[in-house]
Amino acid sequence: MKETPLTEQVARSFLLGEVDPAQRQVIESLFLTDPEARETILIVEDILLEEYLEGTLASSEAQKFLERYASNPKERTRLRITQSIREYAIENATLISRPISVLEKLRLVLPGWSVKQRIGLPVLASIVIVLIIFGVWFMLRTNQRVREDNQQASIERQLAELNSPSSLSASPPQMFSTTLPPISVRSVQSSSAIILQSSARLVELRLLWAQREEYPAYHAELSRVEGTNPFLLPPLHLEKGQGSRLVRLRIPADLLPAGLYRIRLRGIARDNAPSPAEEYDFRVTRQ
Amino acid sequence: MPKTPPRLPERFDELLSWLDEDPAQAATVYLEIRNSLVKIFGWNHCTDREGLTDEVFDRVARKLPSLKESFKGDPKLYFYGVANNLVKESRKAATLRVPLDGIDCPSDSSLAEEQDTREMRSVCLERCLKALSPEKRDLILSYYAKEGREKIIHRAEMARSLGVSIRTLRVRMLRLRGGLEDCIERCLGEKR
Repeated sequence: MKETPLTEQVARSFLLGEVDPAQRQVIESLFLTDPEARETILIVEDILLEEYLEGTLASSEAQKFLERYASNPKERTRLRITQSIREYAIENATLISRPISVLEKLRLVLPGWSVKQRIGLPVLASIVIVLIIFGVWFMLRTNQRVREDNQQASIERQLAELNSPSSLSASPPQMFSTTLPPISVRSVQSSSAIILQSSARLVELRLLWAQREEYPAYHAELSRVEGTNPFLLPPLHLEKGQGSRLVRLRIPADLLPAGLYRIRLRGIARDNAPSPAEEYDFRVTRQ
Repeated sequence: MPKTPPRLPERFDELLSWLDEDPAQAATVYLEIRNSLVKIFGWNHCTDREGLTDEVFDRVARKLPSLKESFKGDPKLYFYGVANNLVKESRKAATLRVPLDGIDCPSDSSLAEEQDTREMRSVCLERCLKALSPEKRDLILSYYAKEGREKIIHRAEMARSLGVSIRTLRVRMLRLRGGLEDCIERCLGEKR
């Protein structure tokens, strides 16, 4: 008779009246003859009873359960007695227990999972959490880089407009002008100082060109010495007058917070070959 | 011993000896079969389970002389065969069963009884709990103290404390609760 052990799932179906008559007879005879099957059926019956009393039984199962276990007054009394015991226990019990490990708790709440799966679950969860954290970090970093690139492009566009030949010919108000010699010819050690009033809107730097060669265009890079990305400035042109040769560069004052700056200026030949760079340092102080 | 011996008393000892040569063991087997048959009749929606169980023992007792000669195998299976026939008969007769459609299933609200019955049950419960040893009382109350997921973990902790498997603990608690329920049922009967 006993070919395969009676599983709790089959026992549950049997107790809810979900098996065919032939299967019912096999299980009922096992209930009489096989102590293990008997124990399984009684345990599953008890589980069903608890689920019913806790209200966790699905409504269709609850209906089947009632048909089997509350069909007469005696059974209903028994059901109420069981309920009373549970209610009394919940109110009055002194707990008898000893804590169990997290792994065992996992085994209990995931009864259908194999040991490998249960051990794998926390590992998998950790990997997923790490991936999510990395994903969020990567997204924020990418967004920040895109934001910075956009900001830089916007500033470079603004610099291009300010330094176009037509703009350079105008003399806007609230502009601070200063002439900077290149480091290569400067005799003093300290950087040129620019003291900016809060009212200043624009700074015009007159970069003296000390090299003998002259070029059709000049490229400049402005960077803060403390280390931010350099701004690529638009092509500039050499201006001559009163015995000096210089390249004018206009920068919005709000792009120059207090600090030390460096400009690298190169002449660009017709064949696009760059000249050696001239460097200009200046320190901005805010008032 | 037996709750209701067969209605053929002269055959009862004979029936016990057929179940097991050892009288004590035979009595245990008899009760086991009896309780199992009551359950089986219950699962088959038979209202008079005790009466049908008596009928099974009567029928087997009647056939006992020939059975002892001819039947080979576990006597429990023979009892089941007789019980199964009785289930079929009662279904045909439709008098020993409650039709599924007509079953008086209590709604959730009907489980909330009148206050006096509830009070009676409470008095009986306390009385029966006092009749248990302190260890058993603490054990059963602790076992039923939690619900849901907490219950699963708490029972595992209990099983570990007692050094038994969860299955063993559950079976032990089933027996303990069964005894307690019997006691409460008797107590309620006395009070009505």
